[in-house]
Amino acid sequence: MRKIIRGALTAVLAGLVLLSLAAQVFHKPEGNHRASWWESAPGFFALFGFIGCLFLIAVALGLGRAFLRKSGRYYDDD
Amino acid sequence: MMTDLVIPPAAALWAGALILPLLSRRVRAAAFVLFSLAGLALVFILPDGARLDVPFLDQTLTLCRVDALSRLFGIIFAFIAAAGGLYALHLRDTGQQCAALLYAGGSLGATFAGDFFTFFVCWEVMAAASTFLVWAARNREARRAGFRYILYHLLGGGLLLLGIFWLASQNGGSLEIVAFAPGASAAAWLILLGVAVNAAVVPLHTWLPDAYPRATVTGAVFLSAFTTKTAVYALARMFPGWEVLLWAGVAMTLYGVVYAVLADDIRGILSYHIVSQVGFMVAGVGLGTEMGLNGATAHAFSHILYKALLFMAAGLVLQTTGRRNLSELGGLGRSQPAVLALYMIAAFSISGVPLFNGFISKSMTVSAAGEAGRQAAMLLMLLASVGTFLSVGLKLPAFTWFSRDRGLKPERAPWNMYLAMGLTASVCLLHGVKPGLLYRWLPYPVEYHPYARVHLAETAQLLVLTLAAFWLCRRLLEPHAGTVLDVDWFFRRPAGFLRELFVETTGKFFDGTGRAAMAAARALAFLSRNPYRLARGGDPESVYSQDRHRPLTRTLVTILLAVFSLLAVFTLIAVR
Repeated sequence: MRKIIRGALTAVLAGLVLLSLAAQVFHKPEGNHRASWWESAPGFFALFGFIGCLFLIAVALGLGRAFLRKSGRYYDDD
Repeated sequence: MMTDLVIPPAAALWAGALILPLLSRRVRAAAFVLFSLAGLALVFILPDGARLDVPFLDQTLTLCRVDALSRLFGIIFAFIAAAGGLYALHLRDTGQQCAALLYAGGSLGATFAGDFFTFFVCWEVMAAASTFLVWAARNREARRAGFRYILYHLLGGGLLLLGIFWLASQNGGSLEIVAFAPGASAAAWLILLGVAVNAAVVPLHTWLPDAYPRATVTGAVFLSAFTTKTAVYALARMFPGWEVLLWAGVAMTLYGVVYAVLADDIRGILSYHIVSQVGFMVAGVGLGTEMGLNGATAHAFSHILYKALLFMAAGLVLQTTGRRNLSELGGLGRSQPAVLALYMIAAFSISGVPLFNGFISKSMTVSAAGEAGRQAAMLLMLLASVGTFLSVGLKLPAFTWFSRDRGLKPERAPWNMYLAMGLTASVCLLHGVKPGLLYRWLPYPVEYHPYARVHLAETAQLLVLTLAAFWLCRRLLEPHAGTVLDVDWFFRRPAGFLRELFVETTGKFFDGTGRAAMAAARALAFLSRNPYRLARGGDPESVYSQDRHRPLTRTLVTILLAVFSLLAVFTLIAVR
């Protein structure tokens, strides 16, 4: 059951991304004017979301490992 | 003039705080909601441009001044006070109820204040009353965090007051609140700093993720709504177009999401996302364009709704399981499906998913940056949006309601909590589906269409691929118990040393001096108590007695005679 739901969800989301890509390719922007190349490049936002998310995780976990995260109670006054 | 008809909305809530303790214990919680609704009604019936001027000393105080901006903030503040009251309807804690009414009233008062004096008084009422919502948790952690919280706000209030005095001395004593031109004066900078403390502008933000997770379950709902958003209102009122706010805001959006990835406490994650979301509003104000200010205002409105709902859901989890950390939670989806559903409405809202209210306001702010030619700011805010969906939309629910089933048996929650959450969630959805309902209240005319096809396509790509990246990294994001250091390290870490130096050492020196003085006094007393006994020996503790210790007459006569003889002999020798 879980597998079916997961598969269906993946299919729907993948379909959504493909649909959005198609919309970007075949539809000229209406109304809101585009100021820069990246806003009109198809798939830019997909790439940005994916790489941005990995980047944020890497930065946060990197900083956490380097010096931000302390195990247990750190401050005496807590 | 119709001035006698103008009642400041804060009056309804402050009157409530006075009357509440006099009512029967059982009806106090219900009365709380009624007083908040009365405040909401007052906000609605005040006509545009209404003002209430009151002479005070040699000044004229403007207790109430209504325009589109203050009305919008007033509506949402009063509404969320009522919703929070509904969420806390089961509570029997008069102290918390009165504090929350004072706090919400202060927020409304500051929103409608037309002069800096009234504004400052309301500002300080908020600081004091909100501290009680932290302390009301009645444990050591909350007590300590509450002290750090109030210290921070006293600092902010002090800066604000200093700026106000300086300003008044410059412009002939006028205290009227007006927008400052960017970089206007040192006084304006001081006021900006004071307001920035309450807006949790990085690096002045640490009071927020420190205190909010430790507040009471119901108190945190109020805290999440008022302090930061009143500050956003003040920024929009006084500092539109200050370039520094654009970059401060962008920094906040990213700072909050990075820390939220590391945080373990569920309300801690939400607290860092207040910093992040307020960053969008601060950046919108910094843009200073009509669209930027509209975006900031709309986002403040949406944010108060979904953030309160997030805190309500997280509070419900805390109350029913007694656990607050992701590392101790998991598998609650089976036992709390309704809470999960309501939480996800808020989570989709904050993440900017279409059909939810965050989408119609956040995207307006981000687009405003693009319209103003601020490409870098726009991209960085988009990156922060990715982080928001990652932590609040994916990580938090994944590790609370799904993931490992820890066999938790949550208690039943009172019906009113669900009702309050349902009410708030329905407004989130309503505004998401019909943006016009919110847009028509905004201070400037709106020409923005969030549901443009291109925009929908971009949002779909951004969110779905964020989900994909999360799915790949989900093992890495396993929560860890422990402490995550923030910039409060710079004063909390040396605090022990400074306390040692200025309190413990000083105390020890004082004690030591006292002890030495006492010892000296005791020694002197020992010498003078009975000098005869010192000379003759005997019981050292014996008390002087005229009969036992006074020398005999013959001894004295002998001594006198001997001295006299010696003197005589000496004189004779000397004279010769």
